[in-house]
Amino acid sequence: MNVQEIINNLPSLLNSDEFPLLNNTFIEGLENVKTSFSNEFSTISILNSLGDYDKFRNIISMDIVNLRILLHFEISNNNFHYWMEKLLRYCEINYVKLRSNERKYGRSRNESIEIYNQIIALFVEYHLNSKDLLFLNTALKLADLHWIKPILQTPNSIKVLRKIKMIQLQKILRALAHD
Amino acid sequence: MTNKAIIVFCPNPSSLYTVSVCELLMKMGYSIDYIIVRRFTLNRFRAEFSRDGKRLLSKIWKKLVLKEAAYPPGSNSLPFFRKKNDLRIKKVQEFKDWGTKIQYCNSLNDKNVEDVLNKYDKKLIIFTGGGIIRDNILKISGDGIINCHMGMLPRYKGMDLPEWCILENNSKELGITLHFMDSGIDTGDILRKVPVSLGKHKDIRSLRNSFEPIMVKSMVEVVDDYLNGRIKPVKQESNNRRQYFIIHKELYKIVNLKIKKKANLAPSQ
Repeated sequence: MNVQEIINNLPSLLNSDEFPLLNNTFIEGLENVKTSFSNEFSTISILNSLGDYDKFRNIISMDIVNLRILLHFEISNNNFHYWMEKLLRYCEINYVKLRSNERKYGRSRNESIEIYNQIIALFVEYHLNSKDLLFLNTALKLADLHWIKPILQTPNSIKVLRKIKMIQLQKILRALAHD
Repeated sequence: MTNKAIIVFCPNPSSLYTVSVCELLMKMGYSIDYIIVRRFTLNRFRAEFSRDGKRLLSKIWKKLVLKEAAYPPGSNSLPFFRKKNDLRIKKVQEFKDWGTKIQYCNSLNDKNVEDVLNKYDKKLIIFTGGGIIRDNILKISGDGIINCHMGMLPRYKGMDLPEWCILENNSKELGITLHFMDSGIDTGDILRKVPVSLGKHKDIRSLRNSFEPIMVKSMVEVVDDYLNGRIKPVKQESNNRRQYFIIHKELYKIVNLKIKKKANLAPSQ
């Protein structure tokens, strides 16, 4: 399926199992993304909106969703690998100050939780796609951060997303151990 | 034996690696002009804790408290190597008796380190740990600073490389690389690569312990060969390079599982 076909079929795909990114059984529930994705879709710009990597402070969760879509549909984009490497390096090099950086960047707690949960999902999916263990490693480290774990006030979808993601991570680790 | 000053950068006053390298070099007839020792300050603890996390505590316990007692008895560990080579010096301070000057610093990039290096026109620096070296020191390092990296360059840059090799089912790439340091991370010119066999180690700790005597021996050999013109540094290829980061504890467990499996499958000798 090419970009145009995805764009043309997106309204129906959004509610179908043929769009695994939005399907809970794929890797995690993305109901929250689904909502924002539907809104963004009205501009039909999302699939082409991945620009040059700027600074982590300017990233929004839709950028990460966009990367996940590019990855899942194997849409070629010159910036994709550069984004992936930059995100990985940012998370690793700044690992102990990710939270204080988020405060510095002025993002709300929920925005930060959402971005990092999207990054974890992206890294796990990228690992499944490429078998690159460095991305799995960073995803595991991010999943350990207590401040990324959902709090009472966060939308239920984030909690679902996290729960399914953790189950998925455990499955991957079990498979690796038996490899 | 050489008209160049030999200066050693040392991570702490009781580094077994540092004292072993220095004593072996002295046994070969070299004199060590200076040992520059990095103090263990609160700032250093904070910086290293932010990089290593909780495992820094076990590193401190092992390297600063237990020292030789941290190694299980075995033929492939550094204490065994020291015994075999009759290496008796345990603290950097003891080298004073052999005419070596000792300089303490809070960081290897400090002004007092620059002052020491500026005393010598011709010099070779041996790095045995102590943190990142900045441009101010690199610029005045004479022939350069030799480091022993625990991975095969250029493919394996960064940290926890024996673990990553095993996790990636690439144990034939286990080894060390002696190279000159430059401003990049593990990107300097290569002097020698030494492969290390996985052998029949039962866990990653035992494998890592087996690296240490090889690192000491290789460092001394490379310094000797370099000073006698028997080896020349070679530029690293920039393709196929990868930087690795600290490994997560779950993946670390898998590494140990893989080593155990291989040890059970390996034919007994």
